[in-house]
Amino acid sequence: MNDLLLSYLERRNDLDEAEAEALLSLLAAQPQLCVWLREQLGMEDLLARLHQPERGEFANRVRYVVGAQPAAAFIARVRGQAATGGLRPSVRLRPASARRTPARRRQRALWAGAAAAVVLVACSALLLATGRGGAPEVIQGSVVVADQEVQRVPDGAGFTIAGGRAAIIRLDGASDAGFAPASAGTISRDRATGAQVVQLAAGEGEFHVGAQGKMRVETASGTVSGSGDGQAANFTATIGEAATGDAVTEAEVMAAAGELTHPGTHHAPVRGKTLAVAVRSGQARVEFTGHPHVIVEADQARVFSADGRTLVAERVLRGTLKFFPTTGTGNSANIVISGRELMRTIAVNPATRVRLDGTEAALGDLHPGDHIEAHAAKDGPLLALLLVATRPKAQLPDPQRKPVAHPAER
Amino acid sequence: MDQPAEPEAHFVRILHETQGLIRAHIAGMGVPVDEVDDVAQEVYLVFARQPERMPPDVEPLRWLRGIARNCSHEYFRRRARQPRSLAAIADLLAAVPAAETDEPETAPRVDRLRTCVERLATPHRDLLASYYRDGRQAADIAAAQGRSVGAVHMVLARLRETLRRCVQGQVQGTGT
Repeated sequence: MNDLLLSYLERRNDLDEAEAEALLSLLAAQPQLCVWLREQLGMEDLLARLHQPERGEFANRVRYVVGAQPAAAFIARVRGQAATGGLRPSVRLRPASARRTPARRRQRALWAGAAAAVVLVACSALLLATGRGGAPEVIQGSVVVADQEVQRVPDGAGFTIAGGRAAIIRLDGASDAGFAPASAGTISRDRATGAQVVQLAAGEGEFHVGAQGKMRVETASGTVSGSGDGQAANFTATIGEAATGDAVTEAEVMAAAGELTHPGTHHAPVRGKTLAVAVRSGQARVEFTGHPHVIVEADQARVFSADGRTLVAERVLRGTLKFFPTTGTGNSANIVISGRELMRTIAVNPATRVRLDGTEAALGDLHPGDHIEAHAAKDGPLLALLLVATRPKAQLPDPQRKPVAHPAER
Repeated sequence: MDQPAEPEAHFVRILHETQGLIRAHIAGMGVPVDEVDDVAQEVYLVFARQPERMPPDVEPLRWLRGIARNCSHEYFRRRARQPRSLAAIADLLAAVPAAETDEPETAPRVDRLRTCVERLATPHRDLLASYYRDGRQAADIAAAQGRSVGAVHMVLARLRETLRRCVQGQVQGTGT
């Protein structure tokens, strides 16, 4: 077998320029090799489907995602309410495509400073000494350093994202950083730990930390660290402003996550800078001066005040509906879902919104066996819960099994 | 009465009719199998956001393949070191007539493949399960078996070729 073809099958995304161009020439010149490679790829796909039966749920997954768009808007609205006169921009758990925005804006230079220059000198010296990697490469969007658009971001140099399109910058360790338009910051390397350090001065960044990568995002409000440790991590960090808002206690965060706790009340007005962190996969560690660090895990989002208090918490729980409601307090009830690792109890009430297979539904429409995605958002005193359910196609309604009753019906 | 349900039903019908072929098409353009479903999901999200953009005289499958091409190119732009070359290779591969186009339903092909895999020797079945089911990296498998990574990929490529002939043989009734 041709070595180029083997390299393509083995590590196509990491081919260097010479390999990629040689393979392209080879395939263009020899159509039979194209056919062979196409057959190999087709069989790979078929083998993956055979060995990963969960891929058979693809259509349901798409239906859920398409149906969940209003749910995402709902969650965004909850977040927006949390930040009334407050957070800008709101936290987003975005698909990759959401990085693209249609309108172009005038470029703004927001970030410059002597400290960055110091970091630049220090890190440049480190790079020269260690010979590690090149400067971070811009692979999408317009990145401006000192009023000039650049393809590589010099170590420690202040940059801004120009235009209306998000920018993506490739970092070491199979990591990358995406920045929303008008974001500003620097990228450098921590000499002691080897971590790449993004100083986010304004705006929002979406960060992918490779399995072996180390990254630290520093903001005026706190620091977010994503460490590969063998598992990739994806998270966003957004700098905002809280004009008014109430802190949420740790117990309330647990309540937002659907766990049975007695959160009590602790609402202290908060004013000033905020840091929103949303984790899509892996986990991120958030640190504040004088406070113990907070771990934000996959499918969680939190908005922190500059002193480390949580203003808004959101959690997404996924699983299969297992048990009928158990008694709760007042007009609430509890449902139990079984996830990948453990069972979770979620408190529901008449205000809980339900979507089943993409349409509005009631709690009473749910059946054991339904796939449930629970979006819980805690915003000061407000707990908003949305259950997005999909029913496996093979599951037929079972008249012998009692459906989950709405608390108000019991 | 429920007018909004009609476009949704239209979308769901197209989704069910085309998803197998679209995912195979994306895989056939070189998007790694672990990423295929994510790219395919993006294809349907793009389609769902603006279904009215599909001209009435264009078949949904053809329209979705166009979106899939764009989404695959976008994937390579984000993830590959040489996105332009990989996108060009994807276009070359997309032009190759593929076996699945003759058989839109995926399930029968998977069933035939299952039969063929069951005929393989146990070590080969285990290798396929480690790689495709357990998601083990070729480097891990190579280390465990005392082989080179290239050798593992070579065996995988030969197994895929063997299985392709077997599946094709079943279609033609030769049962090889």
